[in-house]
Amino acid sequence: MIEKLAGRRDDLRTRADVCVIGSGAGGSVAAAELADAGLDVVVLEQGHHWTSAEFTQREDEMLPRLFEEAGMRQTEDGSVLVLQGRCIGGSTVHNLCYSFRTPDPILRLWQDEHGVADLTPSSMAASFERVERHLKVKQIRDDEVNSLNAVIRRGTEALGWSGFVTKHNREGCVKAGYCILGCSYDAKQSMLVTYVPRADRAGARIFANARADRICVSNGRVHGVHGRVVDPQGREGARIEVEAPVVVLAAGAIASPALLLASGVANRSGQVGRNLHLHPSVMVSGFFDEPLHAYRGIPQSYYVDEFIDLERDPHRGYVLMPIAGFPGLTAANLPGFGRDHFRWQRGFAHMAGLLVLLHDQSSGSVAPGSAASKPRIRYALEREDARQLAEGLVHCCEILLAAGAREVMVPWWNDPLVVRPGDDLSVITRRGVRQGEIGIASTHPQSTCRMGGDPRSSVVDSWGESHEVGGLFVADMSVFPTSLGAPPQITTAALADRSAQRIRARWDELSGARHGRRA
Amino acid sequence: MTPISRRGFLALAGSGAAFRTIATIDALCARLDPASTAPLPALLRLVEWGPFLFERRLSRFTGLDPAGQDAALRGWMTSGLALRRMGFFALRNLALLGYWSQDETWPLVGYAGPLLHRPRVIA
Ligand SMILES: Cc1cc2nc3c(=O)[nH]c(=O)nc-3n(C[C@H](O)[C@H](O)[C@H](O)COP(=O)(O)OP(=O)(O)OC[C@H]3O[C@@H](n4cnc5c(N)ncnc54)[C@H](O)[C@@H]3O)c2cc1C
Ligand code: SF4
Repeated sequence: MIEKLAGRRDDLRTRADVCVIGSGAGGSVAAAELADAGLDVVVLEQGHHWTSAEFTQREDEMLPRLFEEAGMRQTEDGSVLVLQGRCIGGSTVHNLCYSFRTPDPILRLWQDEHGVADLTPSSMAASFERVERHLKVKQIRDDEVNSLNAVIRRGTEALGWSGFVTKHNREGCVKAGYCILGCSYDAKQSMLVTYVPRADRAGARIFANARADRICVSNGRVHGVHGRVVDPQGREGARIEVEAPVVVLAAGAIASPALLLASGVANRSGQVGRNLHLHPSVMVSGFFDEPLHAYRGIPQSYYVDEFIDLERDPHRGYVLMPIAGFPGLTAANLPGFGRDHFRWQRGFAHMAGLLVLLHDQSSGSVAPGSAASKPRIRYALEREDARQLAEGLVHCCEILLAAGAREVMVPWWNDPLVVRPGDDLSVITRRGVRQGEIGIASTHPQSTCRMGGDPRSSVVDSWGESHEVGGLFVADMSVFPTSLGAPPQITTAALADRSAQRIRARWDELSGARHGRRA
Repeated sequence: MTPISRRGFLALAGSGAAFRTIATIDALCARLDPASTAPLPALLRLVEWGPFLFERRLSRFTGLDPAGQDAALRGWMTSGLALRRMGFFALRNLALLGYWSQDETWPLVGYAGPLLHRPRVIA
């Protein structure tokens, strides 16, 4: 059952075996796996339940529906845009479907340096396989690569650099290109059309417009969640109280730590809300003589990995990714206003975007803010990370110019730089990347409730359970011990699957035989 | 939307599909969490009184000619105060999103528009 609570007047009080908070890449997997095991699962999702029939392919309508703060959430100083989903299915409803397993060196790093037990490619294989099967992950065919990605591939190959066509989670894709505004064709295998219906079929009670505000703990054990009905406009309504011996927190790497901090639980380590990594990205725009109409077709299918070698250094590197938008999103990424701005915007149909996405060492923090929907996010780029981003921008320009761009624009807000074939690109590293001077975006906030073997330096143990609150699990991107250095949806889902299997295996102990059900 | 904000948005977004732009921005703001939109009225008032407050000019924003308005907005965009820059970009991005959501702006940049024609749910 999926029930929209918006407008409900009477309070909702219920009991369950497991209460899952959030229905994105982590929460929906945990909910489906646990409901499948016969447990009585309640899911609280603050966002609305939108379906493909309501996806209109229009930015002004879809951004407020699918994104936190309509896609305008920022760090406290306004220097980094943080994009996250707010709907049934979470960020998977608008994401771009790159489907990568956790890189082996990162699993090793998490095991060796952070003490996460039993985290190897082979111990994770069953979780990866299950997730990939449910999300129908497959290789993108060459004939499915759109004009934008073909351009980036051409430039990369001309320079002799490493790049490849990736896997994705789409089935029956008609190449409309609107993935970031939600797929109107149900071709994108987001959680909305995969794990959420699975959880529903297995009997989970899934509540939309249900915001968790407090995790209730006594005597070192979790026993429920309190919250509020919130309509899609954020107006608060009736109260919600769920009593459950197990709570799976999967509200994403911004909301999960904010909720733990607001509840005053599970933070003896002092690490809740810290170690925020963002995979910060900066994009450049190449302008070609021929129209590309980069917004049609699969938005991201090619991936440049020349500048990351996690085997050699699992802590550093960056990747380059093609990126396109529709007129509104594109306009917001371009510098200036009025006539200056239109000079760039008028090249929309001829534009190819390429972004550098950093495997960051820099870290930030999350804390509760002025309202439940406005957590305080802080982040400061370290010098070496800023240097790598600037170096990545040079390589983005090189690729676009090698592919035949007539000019490439690097979008410093006050003084955008235009480079043309033959120009000296060292000016980019001399100018450098400084927060507030150039647009920086994050689509992958992570690591704010990190997993690890040592309760003094991590929030949850190797299976996602709080070191100090029995029955409280975290199953979203916040558990990554470090920056991942790769697209995160499959890692998030597979770790949630792993936590769910653990809950199933330990159900009798976790439930305290209170509910007398078996997993 | 107040006349002040109307003029401010027009200066930011350019002219053209202006009036529907404003209706779209209004509708968009109505769909946002009130915590996100709460600072907007004060921000728009600051833009209106900005020439006086920040440049000691005896004029409101809406009293300036287009070149003066551009200069005032540039002052916001390049301000040394992070909060002013943030305010500028918040308004700029709302204006741009509103403007470029109008169907008649799309031919200007060669955007073919949605493939599905579903009823509008926003103004
Ligand atoms: C534009 C974009 C493109 C992306 N593209 C890719 C890609 O191509 N490949 C890839 O691997 N990854 C991609 N990602 C990242 C991927 O989508 C995320 O890694 C993944 O969805 C994170 O899962 P999560 O469970 O941590 O959080 P989410 O999926 O964000 O889910 C969290 C959910 O919790 C809900 N919530 C928050 N607070 C509360 C509360 N208090 N009470 C109840 N519910 C709450 C939210 O509304 C949300 O629905 C992209 C992300 C973005 C933004
Ligand atoms: S490109 Fe494919 S997955 Fe994306 S919106 Fe179009 S049909 Fe859906």
